Amino acid sequence: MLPWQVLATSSLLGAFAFMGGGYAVLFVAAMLSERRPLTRIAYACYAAQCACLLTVLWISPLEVIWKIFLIGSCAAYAVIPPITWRYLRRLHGA
Amino acid sequence: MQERLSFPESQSLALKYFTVSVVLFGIVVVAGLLAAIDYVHPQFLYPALPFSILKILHIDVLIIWILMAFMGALFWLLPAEYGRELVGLKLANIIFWIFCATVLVVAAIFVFVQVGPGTEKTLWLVNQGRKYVEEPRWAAIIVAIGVAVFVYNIVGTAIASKRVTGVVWVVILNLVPLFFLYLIAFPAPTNISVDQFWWWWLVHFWVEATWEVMIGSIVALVLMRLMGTSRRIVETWLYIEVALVLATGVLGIGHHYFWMGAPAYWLGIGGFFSALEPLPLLGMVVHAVYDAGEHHMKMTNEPAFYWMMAEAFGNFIGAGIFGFMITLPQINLFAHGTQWTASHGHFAMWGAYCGVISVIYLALQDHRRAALFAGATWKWGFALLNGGMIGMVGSLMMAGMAQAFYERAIGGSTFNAFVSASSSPWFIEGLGMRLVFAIVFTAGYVVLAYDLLTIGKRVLETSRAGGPARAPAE
Amino acid sequence: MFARDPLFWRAGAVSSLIVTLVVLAMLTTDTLRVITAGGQNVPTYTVINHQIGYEYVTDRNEYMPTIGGQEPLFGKIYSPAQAEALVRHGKLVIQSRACLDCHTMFGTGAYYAPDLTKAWLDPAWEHLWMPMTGTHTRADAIAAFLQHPEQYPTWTREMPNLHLTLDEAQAVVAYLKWVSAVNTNGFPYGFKTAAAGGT
Ligand code: HEC
Ligand code: HEM
Ligand code: HEM
Ligand SMILES: [Fe+2]
Repeated sequence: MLPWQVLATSSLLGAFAFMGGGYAVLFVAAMLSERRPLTRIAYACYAAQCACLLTVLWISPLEVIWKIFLIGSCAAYAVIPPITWRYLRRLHGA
Repeated sequence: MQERLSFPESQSLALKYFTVSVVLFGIVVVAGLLAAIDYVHPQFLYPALPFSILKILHIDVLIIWILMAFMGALFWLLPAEYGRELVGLKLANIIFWIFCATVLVVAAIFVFVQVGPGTEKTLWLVNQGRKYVEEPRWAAIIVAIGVAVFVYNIVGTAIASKRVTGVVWVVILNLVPLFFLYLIAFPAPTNISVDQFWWWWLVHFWVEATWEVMIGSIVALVLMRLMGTSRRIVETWLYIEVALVLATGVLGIGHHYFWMGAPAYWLGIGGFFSALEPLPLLGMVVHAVYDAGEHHMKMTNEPAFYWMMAEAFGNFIGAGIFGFMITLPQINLFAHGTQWTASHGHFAMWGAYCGVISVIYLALQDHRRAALFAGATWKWGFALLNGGMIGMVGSLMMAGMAQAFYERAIGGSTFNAFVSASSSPWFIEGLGMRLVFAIVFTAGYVVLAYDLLTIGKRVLETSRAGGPARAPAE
Repeated sequence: MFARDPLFWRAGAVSSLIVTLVVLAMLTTDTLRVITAGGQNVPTYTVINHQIGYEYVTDRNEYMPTIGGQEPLFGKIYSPAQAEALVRHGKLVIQSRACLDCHTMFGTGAYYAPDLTKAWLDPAWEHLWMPMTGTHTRADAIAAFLQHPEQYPTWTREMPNLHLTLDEAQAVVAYLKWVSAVNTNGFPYGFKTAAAGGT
């Protein structure tokens, strides 16, 4: 990796995980409060996460195997909030 | 007149542990502050108290601080699970005082003796020079005995009560490895690769496995009491959490085996499993938000609630995100062993374990029979501490990125590269800013300590109730 | 539904733990074999009798240590037992002086002072400290520096005098030489010895 690519890749990965977290938190908050606009911001976060992923795929010399791994985790981040949400509802007997 | 506490003996023991843990937290902060000054003014206290000694005080006391807080938390919370007092109270009281004396003596040795000749004797009496567990072996033996007495109390009481709930099982099974891992503090292998191989078992399996499970169990117990969440829900969630944390965290140890002589397959294994570690932490955040939404209204202990939330978010961001940024081997090759590591280390350790403050607030509420814990003071402590920490880790990350860039990526990590990276404006500004935020953090500590001493006693903020605020457990 | 049953997840926790522990045990056995002195990645202690280098290996795309011909240390060739005793002494000195609470080794330790993984090969000995200490070999320069670091300051952060005896300093030098020959999967990246034109 070139020196700048190290910092760029790492920062993008940080933003990737941060946006995934934002999506999850806002998604659950939106469901709890039943506020539509919040849901939209949540999806916007996920879109930003995907954008981070695409940028990494594009500019970063990470090995292919790690890129595939990241694509997989991005997919996992997509489904974790809704699944967790439904699971928590059921667990709490609602 | 009602009993003040439901299990007065165990719980006053717990309060002692809490008190000392808060004092130790203060020592951690002061030592950290002094060490941070060294980066800005290298001549500060030099050579009377070199950086190494300050760092030792900072991180060794840190370990003891969190361990004592864990012990206090379990001594406080578990009697209600057991429905009885602890079996080994007397022993725990004796070991408590021995423990405190040991900490004092070791601190004095570090400050006044510091180091010794290169013999086994020095390792026994003065300094072992192994990160996080520098305490000389005689003291390490006492720590081990202290932890063993603690384990005896938890397990023995469970047996005596004949009531082992799911949470208690998790606590007990987790304490076994926690104790045995500490024994890695003793050996001094010649071969540094072998040394570091086992040493990481201690460090990584403590902070990313056994301590995580420990704080998870404590949170589970707190949730039942603070929010009245049902046992079935809490236990189910705890099992899920434990499954995921261990499934990713155990082999995640590989992220420390990239560059210490171990085979190259650890690059793949360590990178893969540790990169999955953020996911369970994200699950915890989601759960915390869910619980917050469900129970927001009935809050009688604001600081306990908010510190619990800080824990969930801090764990995900500090450990999950900041760790993820440096855990893939291709990036770690450059970020490794720089201020960037310190950035993640601080955020993760704080994020994951600041939850113990929540338990202290809970305990104090029972102890002081306050109907409501609220007011402005705790908010100042909360904001200064968390704001200070975020500022510190942000500054360290800036300095660390500069170091990775100039020293590791461009300069080839020679002495010359180290010096020139340390002279780059990004690095110097970063460490300067860290010091500023360290002062903010320290102010937060002072407010927190004041608040813990007085909350519930200040007439204006709280209404005194005649009896315990909530029905004592059970 | 089964997923709401705590016992389902308890079984999950236990079985995932067992699986990962079994894998960990297997990898640990293999790794210990590779990292004992004389294993695949970690040289025997007699490597201190040899010339050591660090070179880029194109087909592995990483830097690796190289072990060359004989090169006596402090004018001596050590037997396996002597070498091990010397390196052992070096480790005890490093622990008893808490060197790794200022420095790192393999990148682990403290970040106040430079990484010692390749300290033996550092071009600064040739460029900086051999002239400063008036010594003619790298080993002598390091030993001189370690005994009186306060006499050879080079920048704002200084290393304190930790009162190493000559024996202790030489043992540390042997230790650093041995460590520099460990195969660390290419860390540190891009490190150049004086011979390779490093500064
Ligand atoms: C208080 C912190 C501190 C301690 C403890 C310390 N050092 Fe240092 N060390 C430094 C600093 C700072 C430098 C850079 C010195 C300079 O430029 O003058 C340094 C430089 C060195 C160097 C030369 C650096 C290079 O990359 O070539 C070596 C070798 C070294 N130390 C070894 C040791 C050993 C061995 C010990 C333990 C016996 C030790 N140090 C303990 C702070 C420390
Ligand atoms: C509770 C959780 C965690 C805590 C308390 C924690 C703490 C720490 C600490 C203190 C260090 C420095 C160790 C040392 O050299 O002394 C460290 C290193 C490291 N951590 Fe974490 N961590 C946690 C979780 C994670 C997670 C989830 C990841 C990955 C996603 C991670 C990745 C790393 C990496 C890669 C290093 C090595 C840095 C280097 O190469 O120098 N950590 N961690
Ligand atoms: C005023 C606040 C603090 C300051 C100024 C401070 C400063 C420091 C300094 C200077 C180091 C040495 C880093 C190095 O080797 O260069 C350090 C290490 C460390 N500190 Fe702190 N610290 C503070 C608070 C804390 C807190 C609250 C925690 C934990 C909850 C903590 C955990 C750690 C850990 C785990 C390390 C070892 C990290 C590593 O070596 O990678 N610190 N700190
Ligand atoms: Fe780790």
